[in-house]
Amino acid sequence: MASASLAHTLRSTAAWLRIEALSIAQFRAQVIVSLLGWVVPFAFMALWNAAAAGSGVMTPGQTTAYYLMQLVTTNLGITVPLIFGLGYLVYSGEFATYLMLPLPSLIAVVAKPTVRNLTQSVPLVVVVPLLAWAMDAEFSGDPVVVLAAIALFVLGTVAGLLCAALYALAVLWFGKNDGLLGLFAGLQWVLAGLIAPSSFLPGWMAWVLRLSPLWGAQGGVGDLLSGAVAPAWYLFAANAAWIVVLALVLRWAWPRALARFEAVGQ
Amino acid sequence: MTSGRGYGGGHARSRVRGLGHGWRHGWRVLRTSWRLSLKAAAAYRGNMVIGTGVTLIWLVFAIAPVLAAGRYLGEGDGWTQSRLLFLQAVWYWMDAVMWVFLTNNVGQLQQDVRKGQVDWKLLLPTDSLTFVTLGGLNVTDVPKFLIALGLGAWAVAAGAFPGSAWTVVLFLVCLLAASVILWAVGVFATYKVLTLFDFDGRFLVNSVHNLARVPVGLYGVVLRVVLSSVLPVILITTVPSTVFFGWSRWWVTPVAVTVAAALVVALRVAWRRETRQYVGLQN
Repeated sequence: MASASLAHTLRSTAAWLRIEALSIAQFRAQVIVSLLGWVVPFAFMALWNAAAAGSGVMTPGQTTAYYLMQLVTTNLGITVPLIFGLGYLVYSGEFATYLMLPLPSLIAVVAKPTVRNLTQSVPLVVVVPLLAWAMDAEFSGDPVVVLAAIALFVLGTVAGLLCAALYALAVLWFGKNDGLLGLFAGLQWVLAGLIAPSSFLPGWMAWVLRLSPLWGAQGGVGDLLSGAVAPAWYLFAANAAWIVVLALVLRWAWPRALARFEAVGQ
Repeated sequence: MTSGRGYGGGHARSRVRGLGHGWRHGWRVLRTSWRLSLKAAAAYRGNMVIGTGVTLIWLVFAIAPVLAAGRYLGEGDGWTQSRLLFLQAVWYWMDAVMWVFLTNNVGQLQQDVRKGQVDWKLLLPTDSLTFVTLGGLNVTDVPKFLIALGLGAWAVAAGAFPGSAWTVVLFLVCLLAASVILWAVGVFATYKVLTLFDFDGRFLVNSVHNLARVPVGLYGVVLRVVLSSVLPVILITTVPSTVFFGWSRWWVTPVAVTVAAALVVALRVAWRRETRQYVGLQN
């Protein structure tokens, strides 16, 4: 299967995504309603809007824009579903089936949350512009910044997924422990800038965030589009470097992790 | 499955009353159920230690925004860093209520309905609403209550002083009312599963819980009105905290208690109606 051509892999992935889309479509109303359950960006938006007033770091309009982008990117994020999805498949033994699919098994694991999150995020296409207008959000209108944000989102998504995949492999060593698996989400809250925009953090901490593999797909988009951080080459270079390093580590760790998989579950 | 009159409603309850049990009996059943949960958890002590460790790490994630934002907030609307920290302690208490009582019981109810295993719980000679929604104890998260108390003590030591001894008493009443309100909202969000089989309204209680992370006063005007009227978010963390600081009017505590009591009554009525229409189903 490893020798399957790229075209075949792409075709299989598309077919898999189509199957998941058909499956999700039956429950699309419930999936879309679940969007209402994710309100953490609103809570932190209120907190940082109050903190931003008169801070000289960001304006409340910028923090509003930042958290509206957090709302979008966190709804699209599939790192945590990847971790819990793989954890469950290993625990139940179903992962054995995934290993026989004609596409990389990790792609099969993320297909469902990808389709689910895309479905769930459809209302945001209308809701976010409306909220931006109603709440006086200050977005950067510079096309270069918008393109940079999109590029950073793509790079950050790949880096974040590789990071999550590596973390998920740990389940083959310590077994299914939801608490430990969920810690990744907490780490992501910090490093992806959900709990605070990077500009409000002390100098060194802001750099830790901006150079981490989890920031690009979330906080990076918000920081660029709100104008809090200017596009700079090092942001993209850091993400590209993470992708290379994490892909190499994953390539090394994958067979070692699979060697521990016993294909028996409950 | 049956006419359903006995399910958690009239028949079973009158039978319990007839035996002279009532609330005392219900409390005994609940206590026994919790003891069983504790015994089951004792078999996985390692898991509990890891769980507590993870909880402590999550605590850092929960209070980090407040600590960071508090540096910039100053005295804005009286919400200093230490007072925001106290509100976080209240929020953490509610988090404990969520994870210890609500999440596992409500999740179990959904599973049980789908597998047709809820029947025996409804037939037990005790109050089915209490038993089904509070019977299981997620022991791993029990330390959260202690952590919340510790966090509250830290906030007070840092300067979030109570208004007076009387406001502390009122605060405890509001905290209890808020816990009941959160539980009621959580059950309201899911009880329809009894007849709809694949119903999950947990997003509602998640929203209420997460929006309560910050004082309602910090939200914009529209959201502030919604969170103070349509959704009971203001009663979850903001009201208990402001009562503690002595900022609230005298009628706020009675309002919180009344809302909690009204929700419990409404929930009991809704539960009774729903269980009457319940039919056992297995798939």
